[in-house]
Amino acid sequence: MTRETVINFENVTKIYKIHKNRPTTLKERVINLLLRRNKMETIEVNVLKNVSYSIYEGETVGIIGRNGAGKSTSLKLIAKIINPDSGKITITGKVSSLLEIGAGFQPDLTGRENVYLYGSILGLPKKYIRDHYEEIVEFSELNDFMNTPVKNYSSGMYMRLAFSVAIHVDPDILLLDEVLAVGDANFQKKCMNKLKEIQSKGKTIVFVSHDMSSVKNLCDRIIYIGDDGEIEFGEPDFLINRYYAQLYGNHASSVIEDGNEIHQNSESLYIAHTSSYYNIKESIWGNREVSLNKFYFSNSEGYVSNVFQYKQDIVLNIELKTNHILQRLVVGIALYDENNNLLSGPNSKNDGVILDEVDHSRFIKVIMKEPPLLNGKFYITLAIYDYDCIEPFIHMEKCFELMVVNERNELGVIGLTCDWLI
Amino acid sequence: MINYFKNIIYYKDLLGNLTSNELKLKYKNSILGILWSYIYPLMMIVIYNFAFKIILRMTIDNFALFVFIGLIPWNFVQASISQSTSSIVNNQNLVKKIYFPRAIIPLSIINANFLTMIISHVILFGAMFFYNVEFTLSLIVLPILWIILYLVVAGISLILSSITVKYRDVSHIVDVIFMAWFYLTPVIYSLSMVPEPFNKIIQLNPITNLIELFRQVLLKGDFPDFSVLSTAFGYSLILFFVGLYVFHKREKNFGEEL
Repeated sequence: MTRETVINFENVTKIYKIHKNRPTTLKERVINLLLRRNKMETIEVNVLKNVSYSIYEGETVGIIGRNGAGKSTSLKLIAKIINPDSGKITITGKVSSLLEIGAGFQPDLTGRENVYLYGSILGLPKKYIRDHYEEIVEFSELNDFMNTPVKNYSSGMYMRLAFSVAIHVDPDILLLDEVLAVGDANFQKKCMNKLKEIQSKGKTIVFVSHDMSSVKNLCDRIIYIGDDGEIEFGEPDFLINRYYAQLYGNHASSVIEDGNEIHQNSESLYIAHTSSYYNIKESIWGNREVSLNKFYFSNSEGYVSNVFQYKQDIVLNIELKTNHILQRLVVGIALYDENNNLLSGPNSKNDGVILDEVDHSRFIKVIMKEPPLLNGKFYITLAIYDYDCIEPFIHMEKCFELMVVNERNELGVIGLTCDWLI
Repeated sequence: MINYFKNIIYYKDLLGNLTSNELKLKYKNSILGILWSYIYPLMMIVIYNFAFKIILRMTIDNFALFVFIGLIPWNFVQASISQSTSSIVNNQNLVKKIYFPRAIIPLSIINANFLTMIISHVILFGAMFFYNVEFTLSLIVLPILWIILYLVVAGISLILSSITVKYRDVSHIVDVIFMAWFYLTPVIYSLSMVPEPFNKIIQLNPITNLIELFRQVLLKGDFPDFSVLSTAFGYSLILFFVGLYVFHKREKNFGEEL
């Protein structure tokens, strides 16, 4: 099926010039001219570099990347708020951009008046708003406050009302910038459902978010903007990994090459998914008779990744290296949450398994079966001890990290499975 | 250009909403509310009458009315241009976040002032009745004068508001210019009182002839020449579209200049 291209970027470059001494008033301009000081010092920030991509009709595309990578810039380019320095952007269809929720709200006006005002700012005709007014108010759950000036609203109410109007815009292309984090969990869920409804109508959505679970949940494809202004366009899973890798300081050299399992026998060092603790001397100790050749997380199919879903098997792939033969080793891991709470610390001896002999190198796998981790970042400690668990060969405290993303809006770290006999 | 104009038409509801906000917010939380748009010109008449008729002893008949007819368009010109000059800058949170034709912002301010001007004609007609001025058929020309005035003001405002985005001191320059402009416009005097070489200069002022036309229609009850009206209309239309063109050209850069 060939789908129509609705957004097309062709070799688009956007450079922000930060002027150190740009004249902003006529007076300065004149003085500069008289003193022949017209050389301006500028710093150029290359936000997007020679970027080309196409987004097709009905697709939902997420844009991810670090702060300042150019995510919002991309949306502003699509929305025609700014123009590229070179290259061409072609847009087919009506665009509605929600770059900031509630921009244009007038604090002195009532909720009802603001619905009409904000709707018209977003390009909705009066008649359309009148027809959908009940629906909008219903969605915002603010029935009792529509005749109150919005300056008396709480910030949550304010955002809810704005988002309710915004989400009822019915454009061909919807641009969202970090606007999904509105209201309580319940309201967010409603927003998510509404977005899915828009998706199912065959609308194109482009959105920027730091919330990887919603990105994963909604997007068909992802644009990842690197720090150098170059982009990658592809599958969500792969690029979310890339994003985390960059975000948490895993250097590009240790980045997941592709979906294939890393060659088990290769000599090369491959230690991925390290946490910031990995670089701290104090967090690795032991007599160092054992060292690591490889370490990476993968899922049960061998796909290298440190981003997992709720109750997805987590596989630790470890290649140990020794200089001489060691016998009867115990492998232990520990799992910490982001706030350094120890969640679990299993070791192989307790489960009746010992590593009987290691000669030169040895590849082992530890599979965490359906871990009920809910959401967020987790640290893994890896430790190799002697049989009595006294002498550490190597102990790497919280040196590795993984992410769990979850669509479910549950509180807590652990998600228990319950039977509700009600 | 044509597309841009069409785009503005498409956003007419936004223009309407912003205009009514402008009016609503102006008198929000004030006890007298919309009455202020009557009180202000009334006070001006009293003051000018005292200063020029009683102290300076101007010899114009119906001086209060004469000044008032000049003040109505003048106040519209001054309020619209000085408010809209910095309007884009003042609304930058909107301009940087949402796309719509930016010309809507200054136009909504002009519209609000335009409506205020039309409302203040109620007082004018009351005063005319009070001074026993005859109401003639020439009043039907009045809406045409309003439209010409609107186009002139909109053209100037669009140019100034778009330049202010780049050079912020334009708004201060405008304030200074208005001080001089008031005295270069025949509001408190008539064009016929101006001596020979200067009246040519004062006629260069686009508002001069318009105010004279207002007086001709309202005070004298004369029909202006069709040719005068049509030339004025033609020029004002050109000025409006030049303003729109300049604004449209500059608009692209607003996102970055703000």
